[in-house]
Amino acid sequence: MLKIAGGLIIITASTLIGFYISYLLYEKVRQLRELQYALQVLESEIIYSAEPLYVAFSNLSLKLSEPLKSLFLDLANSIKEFQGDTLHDIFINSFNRYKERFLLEKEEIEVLANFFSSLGTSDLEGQKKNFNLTMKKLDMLEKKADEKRQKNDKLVKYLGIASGILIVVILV
Amino acid sequence: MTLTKEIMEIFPEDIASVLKRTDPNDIRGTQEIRIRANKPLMIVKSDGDFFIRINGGITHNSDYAYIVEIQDIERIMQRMTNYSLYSFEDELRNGYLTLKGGHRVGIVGRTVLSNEGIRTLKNISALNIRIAREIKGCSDEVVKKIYSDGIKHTLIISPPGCGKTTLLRDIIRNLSDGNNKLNIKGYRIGVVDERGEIAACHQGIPQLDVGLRTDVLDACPKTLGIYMLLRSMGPEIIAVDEIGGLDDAKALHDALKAGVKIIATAHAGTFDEIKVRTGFKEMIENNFFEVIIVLNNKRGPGTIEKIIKLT
Repeated sequence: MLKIAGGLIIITASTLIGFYISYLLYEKVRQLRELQYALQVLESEIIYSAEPLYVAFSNLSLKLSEPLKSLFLDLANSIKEFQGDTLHDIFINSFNRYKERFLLEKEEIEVLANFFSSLGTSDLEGQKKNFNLTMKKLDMLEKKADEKRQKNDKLVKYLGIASGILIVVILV
Repeated sequence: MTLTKEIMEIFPEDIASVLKRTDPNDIRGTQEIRIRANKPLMIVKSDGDFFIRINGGITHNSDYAYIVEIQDIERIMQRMTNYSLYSFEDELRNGYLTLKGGHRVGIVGRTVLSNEGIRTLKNISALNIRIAREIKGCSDEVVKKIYSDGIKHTLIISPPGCGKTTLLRDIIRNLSDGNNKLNIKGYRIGVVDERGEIAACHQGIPQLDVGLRTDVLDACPKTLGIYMLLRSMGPEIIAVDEIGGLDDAKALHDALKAGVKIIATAHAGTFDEIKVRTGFKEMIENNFFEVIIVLNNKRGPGTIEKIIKLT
């Protein structure tokens, strides 16, 4: 009896791990998608209403879900308090505070950091170009992440269940 | 005046730290901070200009001075514009922007031209931070002398840097607030602040005290602004800075017909000089102005040389 219960627990646990990994894959794609949405909103705030960044960021944070919401709110406050010499520095500091909550990898963070280093440093023409370039890059990264998710989604779930069963079989 | 938080905020860490290490007594009385690429950081006081030393303190020897790098200027630009350069395009086109607290920053660099004139400035190479001076009460005497029996059309003349705008601002404040001691009731005043020096608006809100009954049209060309104020705000007095030329004269004439009193300033050394300039000549021949105030620099800015009553 005890053996059956133990076996069930192992299988449930490994299944959950499989589902959790698949959730992480999905969450990363979601974050990248939301980032693109955020950039679109930001672009219209900047190009059409020429709002200064701290206004644009705090408006934007109302429309987003976590963790981007916190990041943009933090950015707005840091800008208001002049917490760095350049926007790039401010972004790096703010991002590091919320790093664990993002599932982004080095490549994606680099795209963001590049975006922030030219954000606000030029006239509207230059800003438009910055937005276009970053959107294209993010779109590419999102597609890549989504492909990875589709390819591996079922695999990790099955692998979770299967590895649980395997462990039980070995133990019995 | 020592450097306020609003000014310190715009400096990147390097410059802020040398300024912080400088004795506040040395900084007191600073009128301008000059920042030029690859040149020493400089402050201008009434008794001359000084370089800021690398380790703080002031000096006349440029060898020990803190040298401003291009990067410093870029960072100041970022901070001044709240890291949003694009939202200050109009200001850049005009070559200056106004900080919180009314301080003016003049900007030069390479101009980018378009069909309509200057499109923007790039490669910014020098900044001049002019610290706003507000001397409340400097006009008390003048106001008492001239206006205690009613407002008169007034022209304030002096060479640059003698305190015309400061005096005008304080006259506006006195007349707008009203002052029982000087026997002045409060008047509705419209200010056309073409160069943003009278009220020093930051995002449209006056940063310097221009009184309770004052409406400010910021950055508006004088001739257009006078008509706008006449139509929309019903002022009793219109104040403008640095008039000149026939267009201004005509707009002022129309204001006169509308029963509004005018207080204006103009660049000129003496009254005789201004009498022959186009625009002013007609105004003075027609007895437009009732009072002329002449300022000079003999006992510091704002010394009143004479008050000429024309009527």
